[in-house]
Amino acid sequence: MSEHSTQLEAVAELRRARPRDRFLRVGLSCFALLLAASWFTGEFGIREFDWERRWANCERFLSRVVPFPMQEHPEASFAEKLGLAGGWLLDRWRESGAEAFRYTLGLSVVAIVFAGVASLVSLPLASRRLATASPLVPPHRELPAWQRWLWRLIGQGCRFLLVLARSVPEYMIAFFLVVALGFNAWPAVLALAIHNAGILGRLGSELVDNMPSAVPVSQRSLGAGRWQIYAFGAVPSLFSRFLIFFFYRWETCVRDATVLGMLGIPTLGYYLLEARAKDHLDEMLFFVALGSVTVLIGDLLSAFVRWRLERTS
Amino acid sequence: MGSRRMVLLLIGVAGFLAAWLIQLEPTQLFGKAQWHQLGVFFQAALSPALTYEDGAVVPEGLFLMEIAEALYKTLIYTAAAISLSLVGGLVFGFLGSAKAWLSLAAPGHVWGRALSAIALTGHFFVRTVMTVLRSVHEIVWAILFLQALGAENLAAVFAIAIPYSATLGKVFSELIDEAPRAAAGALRDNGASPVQVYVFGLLPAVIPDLLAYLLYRFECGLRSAAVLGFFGAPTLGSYLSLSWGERHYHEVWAYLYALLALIVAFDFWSGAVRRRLTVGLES
Repeated sequence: MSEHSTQLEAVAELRRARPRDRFLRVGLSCFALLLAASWFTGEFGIREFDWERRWANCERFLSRVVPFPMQEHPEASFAEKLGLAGGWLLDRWRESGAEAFRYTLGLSVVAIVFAGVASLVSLPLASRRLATASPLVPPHRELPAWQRWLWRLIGQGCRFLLVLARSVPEYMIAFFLVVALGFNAWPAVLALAIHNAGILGRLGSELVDNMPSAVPVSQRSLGAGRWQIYAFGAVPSLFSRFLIFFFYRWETCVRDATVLGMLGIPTLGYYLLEARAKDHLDEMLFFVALGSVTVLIGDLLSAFVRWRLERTS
Repeated sequence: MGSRRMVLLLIGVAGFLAAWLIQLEPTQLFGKAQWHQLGVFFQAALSPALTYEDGAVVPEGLFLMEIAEALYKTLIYTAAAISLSLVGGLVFGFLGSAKAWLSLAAPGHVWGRALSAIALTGHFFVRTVMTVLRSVHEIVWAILFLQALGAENLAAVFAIAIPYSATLGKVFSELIDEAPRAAAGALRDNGASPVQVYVFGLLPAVIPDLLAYLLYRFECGLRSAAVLGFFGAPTLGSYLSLSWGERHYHEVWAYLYALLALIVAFDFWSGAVRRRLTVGLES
C-alpha cells in the first residue's frame, strides 16, 4: 500500500515537473478559442439553411453532370450507355482536353524550374550561417562595423523578402500580372515561381543551417569564401534533400496551375470556367476530373522520384 | 558525368521542353503598352489608401473599418474551415494509419482478427479517397459547391475543408506510422484494446508535430480563404477585386498589405510556437 502511494506521489511529482510554457498555453488556447468561436459568429447561417431547396438544387446538378449522350438516351442499356459515355469522353479529350492537359503540366514544370533556380541563388544570402560577415568561424581580425551591419542587413532583408514572396497567394500575383502580360503563360509562370521560390528558399536555407558543420568549417579554415562553401560543400551534400523539396513543390505547382487558368490562361481551369459559362455541366465535370487526374499523375511521378532519392540519400 | 549533373541537366532539359510546349517566349514579356498600367499599379504601392479613393461618394474614415472587416471575415472563414479539417484530418489520420495500430493489437484479442481485416481494407480505401479529395483544388471545390448548392457561405468553408482534411489526414497518418512504438507496445502487453493503444500510446507522441503542421495549414488556409473571395466568398479577395475593378489601386495595396501583415504575423507567431513545442520535446 505504501509502495503504491509513493508511486502515485512520484507520478504527481513528474506531473508537476512537466515542462510548462505560458506562451504556448495562452497562445494555443486563444487559437483553439478562435477555431470554436468562428462557428458562433452567425456568418454561416446553419439554422436558416434550407435543406429542401438545397437538395433539389443538388439533384438537378447531379442529373446534369452526366455525359450529355447519356442524358439524351435514358432508355439505353447499361452497355450502350457505357459506349456513349466513352465516345463522349474521347471527343472531349481530342477537342480540348489533351491540349489543356499538356499546357497545365508544361506550365507547372517551367514554373518550378524558375522557382528552383531563383531559390538556389537566394538561399546562401538567406542562410543564417552563411549570410554573416564571417561565416562559420570567428574572424582573424576585428571586422569593421559596417561589414557586420551590411551582412546582417542582407541576411534579414533576404529572409524577409522570402517571407513576403511566399505570403502573397499565387492566384493574386497572377491576377495582377495578367493585366500587363496578357493571357499567355507568363503571369502564371511568374506567380508560381515567385511563391515557390519563397518556400524553397526557406526550406533550403533551413537545410544549410542544420547541416553538420565538419565540411563547411574545414572548407572555411582552408580559406574558402561563402559562395565556395555553398557551391562545393553545401550543395553537393544537400542535393538530394533539396530535390525532394523541389519535387514536393512541383506537385503543388501542378495543382495550382490547373486553377490559374481561371484568369484566362489556357490551363484546365480556363476550359472548366468556359464549360460552366456555356452551362455544359457535364463538360465542366470532365475538366474537374481531368484536373484531378493531372494532379494524381504529378503526385505519382513526384512520389516515385522522392522514393528513389530517399533510398539513395 | 556525375549523377548530380545528370539530374540537373535533365531538369534543365525538361524546363526547356515544357517552355517550348506552352509556347513561352521572352518577347511576350516586353513591348506591351500595358506595362504602363502595371507601373501605375506598382507606384500605388508606395501610398496605400487610408480612406476611400472617391471620398466624395462615401463618408471618409470607414475604409479602415472595411479593411478590418475583410481581415475579420478571412480569419473567421479560415478558422471555421480549419476546425472542420482538424476533425476530418483526425478521422482520416486514424483510419489511414490503421496499419500502425493494428499491428500493435494484442494477438488473440477479442477484437483483433475481425477488426484488422476490416481496417486493412479500409486503410487502403481511405488513403485512395484522401488522394482523390486532395487532387481537386479548393477553388474547384468552391465552384462545384456553388453550382450544386447555390450561393452559400458554408460552401466556401467546405471547399477549403475537404482538400485540407485529406492533406491533414495524410500527414497525420504518416506521423503516426512513424511514431515511437515503445509506449504503445507496453500498453498492448497490459491488455489495452487497439483503440486505447492508439489514443494513449501513439497519439500523444505526435501531438507536437501534429500541432505544428496544423498551424502551417492554418497559414495556407488564410491564403486560400482570401483567394476564395474572388469566387463569391465574402473574404478579403472580394473586397480587393471590387477595388481593382474600379482601378482604385491605392485601396488594392491597402488590402494587400493588410493580408500580408496578417499572414506574416501569424507566421512569426506559429514559428515561435513550433520552436517551443520542439524544445519541450527535447527537455
